[in-house]
Formats: sequence, structure tokens, C-alpha cells
Amino acid sequence: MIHKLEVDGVRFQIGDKTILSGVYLKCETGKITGLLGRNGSGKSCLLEIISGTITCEKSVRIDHISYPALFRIPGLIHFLPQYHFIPAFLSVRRVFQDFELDFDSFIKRFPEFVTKYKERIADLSGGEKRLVELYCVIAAKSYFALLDEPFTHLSPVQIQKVVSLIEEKKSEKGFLITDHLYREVTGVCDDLYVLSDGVTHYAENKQDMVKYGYAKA
Amino acid sequence: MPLATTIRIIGTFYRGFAAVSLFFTAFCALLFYRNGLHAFTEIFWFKVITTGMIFYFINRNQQKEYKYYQNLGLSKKMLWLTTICFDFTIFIILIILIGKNT
Repeated sequence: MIHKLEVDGVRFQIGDKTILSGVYLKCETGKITGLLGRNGSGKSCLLEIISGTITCEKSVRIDHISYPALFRIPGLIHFLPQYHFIPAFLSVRRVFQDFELDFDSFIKRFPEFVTKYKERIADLSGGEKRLVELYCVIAAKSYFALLDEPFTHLSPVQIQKVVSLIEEKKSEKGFLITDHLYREVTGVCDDLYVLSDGVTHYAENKQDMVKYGYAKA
Repeated sequence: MPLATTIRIIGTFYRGFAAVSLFFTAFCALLFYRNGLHAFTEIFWFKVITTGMIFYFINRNQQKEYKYYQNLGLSKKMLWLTTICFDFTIFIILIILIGKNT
């Protein structure tokens, strides 16, 4: 069954400044949806609003059912913020246990972690932490994964592996991705939105990205 | 999510400040042991204020880690309500035990 995540009616202000006011976005299981926008355009805020960790006027629906905070309902979404979020004192083993994930499947894809099962998150490098976080959010059981700058801290080889993992997992869940490495995003996504002046625009091609002020002609 | 898993994850959150909180609880118990029941109000407010300070510092310094718990289905409110209830239960039990034995 295909699940559909829809977002509209978002109105988010900081002080007198309106950050988001005309958002419509749709994401489906089996598809990867990209969200592009300039720095400060409100992409990260929008992902937080969708997950329910920022509260504001909005309508976020999965299969036509409205949810005020998706993150509170297990199995609906997982959210990767743009910063490291796993408590440093936890071991890799414990993180996999909490997310109910199989470590063997992880090391098949990322063999460099074979000796790191019992290590603390604090002892991993920035790129390794990011890989563990990414894997947890991508592979954990849920309908949707929201990925805010997933490719930060990763080498080109690791980005390639993560992209293939996302493509593999998209048969089970829907992905909403935002990143400044727009070639990677446009290369992998099925649908693309550009966020500009607080409004989302559906972009079909590069001309649309130029039209909405994201890319140069 | 199974209850045991929820408790384990809340326990992980509590681990982040348990040492400091339990230190203050032990200090309160010591004060109560030395000064008796008439000092209970001051001791209680001392515990409340130190818990407030812990809340402030965790919110300021470890805010990013809330995303870990939120990804596992636990809100900030849930984490704090359960851990503060647990922490104050330990505090009250200690005070009662000391009160009975002095």
C-alpha cells in the first residue's frame, strides 16, 4: 500500500518576519522527494514543522489523517537533523538496539564499522557518526524519513553508498531530502520542490529551478 | 513501543544527569538527617531549585539530543515528567526512611 504525506496551510513566523506561508508538499512511499532552497529559506524549519518538533499553524496529513506531532506516533516518521543528535555516551550497539536494527546488515554495506560495535558514539569521527545516524533514520521502520542535509560530513564514496541505500529502501518508505549538494538531490529524487519566499514551487526541470531563484541559468 | 523499551530509553535520558541529581538528593538526605523535620521545607525547595538548574543546563547544552528521543517516539515533556517523578520519588523515599529512623 502506498502511503501519502501531505503538508499545507503552514504559517510560521519569527517575530514579525514570515518564514513560511504558502507551503504545499506531497511525499509518497516508494518515492524520493527533494526540497531545495537558499540558505535561510526555511527548509530545516519546514522539516521540523512536519515532524512536529516546531509547533505552528499547519496541516500535516498521512493518508488523509491529520497529525499535530508525527514524531509522537511510532512508525510514522524518522527525522535526521543537520547536526549530530545521538547522545555521545551511547555505544553503537545500544543505538542499533534502540532503533531495532540489525548490525550485520549495516556492516555488509559499511565494513569499516566491523570493529566499532562496542565503541561509544563519542569515539567515532564526524563522518562515522553521520553514517550511523543516517543508517538509523533510513533503515528504521517507518513510513517516511525526513533527511536534512544528509550528505554533510560524507566523502563522495560514502555519499554514493547512502544514495544506493536510500534507493533500495524507497520501496518500503518515502523520503523527503534537503541538501545543498543539489546535484546529488536532483539525481536521486522523483519529485522536486523549490522553497523560495516562504512558498514551495514544484520544479520539473532546471529551468524551473532558475525561475524560482535557486540555480543560475 | 513495548513498555520495557520505553523505560530503557527514558533511563538513557536520565543517565545524562542522574549523577548530579542523585548527588543533590543525597545532600538533601544528609541535611534532613542532621536538622530533622523542621528543616524539611528548606530542603524541599533546595531540591526543587537544583532540579530546575539541571533542567536549564540540559536544555541549554544538550538540546540536540532531544532529536534522538523524539525519533524513538518520546517527547521532551514525556522525558522530563517521567524522570522528575522518578527523581522526586527517590528523594521522598529517602526522606521518609530517614524520618522513620531518627
